[in-house]
Amino acid sequence: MYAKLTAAIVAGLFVCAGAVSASADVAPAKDNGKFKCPGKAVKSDWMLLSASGDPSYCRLKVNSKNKISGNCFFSDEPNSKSKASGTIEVNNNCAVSGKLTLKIDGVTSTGTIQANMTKSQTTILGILVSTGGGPDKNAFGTFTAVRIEKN
Amino acid sequence: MSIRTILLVAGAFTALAAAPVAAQSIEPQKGYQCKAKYLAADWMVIFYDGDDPTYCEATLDKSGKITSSSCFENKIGKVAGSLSGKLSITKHCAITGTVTAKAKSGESEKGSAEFYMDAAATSFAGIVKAKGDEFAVVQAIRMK
Repeated sequence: MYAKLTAAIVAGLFVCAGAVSASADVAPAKDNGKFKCPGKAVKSDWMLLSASGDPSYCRLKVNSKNKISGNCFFSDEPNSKSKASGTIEVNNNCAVSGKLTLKIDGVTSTGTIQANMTKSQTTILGILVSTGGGPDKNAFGTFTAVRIEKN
Repeated sequence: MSIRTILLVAGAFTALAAAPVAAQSIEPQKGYQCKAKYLAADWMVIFYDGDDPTYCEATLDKSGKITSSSCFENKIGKVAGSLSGKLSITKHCAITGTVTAKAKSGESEKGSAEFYMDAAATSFAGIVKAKGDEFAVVQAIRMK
C-alpha cells in the first residue's frame, strides 16, 4: 500500500485541483495573450492518466461548483479502486489549480494541482504535488487529463 | 502473459491515424465533433504499463483499421512487435475498439481500447484494458 500511495501522489494520480485560488506555491500560467479559458471549462467528465511510477488512471467528474468526484485505478492492482475528491478551477489564462484527495485502503493523501489547459480545452497537462499523507511531501508526478464529452 | 507484458514486448498499440486532419477548428469546446476520418493517419503511440515505456508507430486507415505498425522496446531500430485491430470514433471523440499486440516471439494478446481524442484531432489518450482489468496507459500523437 505504501508503494501505491507513493504512486498515487508522486505519480500524480490525478488531480483534483481544488483549492480554488491558486495558492502561493502554485505557479500561475503565463499569459500567452492568445487564447483564454472560461471558468466552466473544467466542468465535465475527465479521464486522468498518469504514467509516473505505477501507471494509473481516474474517472472523474467535475460539477458546476468545481468539485471533483470519482475513482482511480492502479495498474498493479487493477481490480481495486480508490476514491478521489477535491476541487479544481481554471483561470482566464488557462492555468488549472486545485486540490486532490485520494483515499486508498483507508488512508488519505492530498496533493495540489499545477496544470494548464490546452487551447481546445479538451486536455489538461500538469503535475500533482504531494502535500500530505504520502511519504514524500513536495514530490510530484505528471498527468494528462482528457475530456470525456457526453453530449 | 499479461497485456502489460505483451504491450511492452510487442509494443502495443495503435496508430490511429489519419489523414491529415482537416483543418479542424481549434476552439471547439462546445459543439466540437470528431469524424471517422480523423483516425486515418500515422501515429506515434506510447504505452506505459509499469515497466519501461514502449512506443509504436502505426498507421490507421479511414475505417479505423491498423494497416501497418512497428513497435519498439528499448532500442530504436529493432522492431519488437506489431499491432493489429480496428478502432472507431464517435462524434464526441470517444475511441473504442480492440487492439492486439503481437510480439516477435509469436505471443499475442488482445485488449479493449478506451481513448479520447482532443478537439484539434492531433492527439488522443486513454487506456487499453485486457482480461483481469489489467491496463496500460496510452498516449498518442499524430505524426502526419
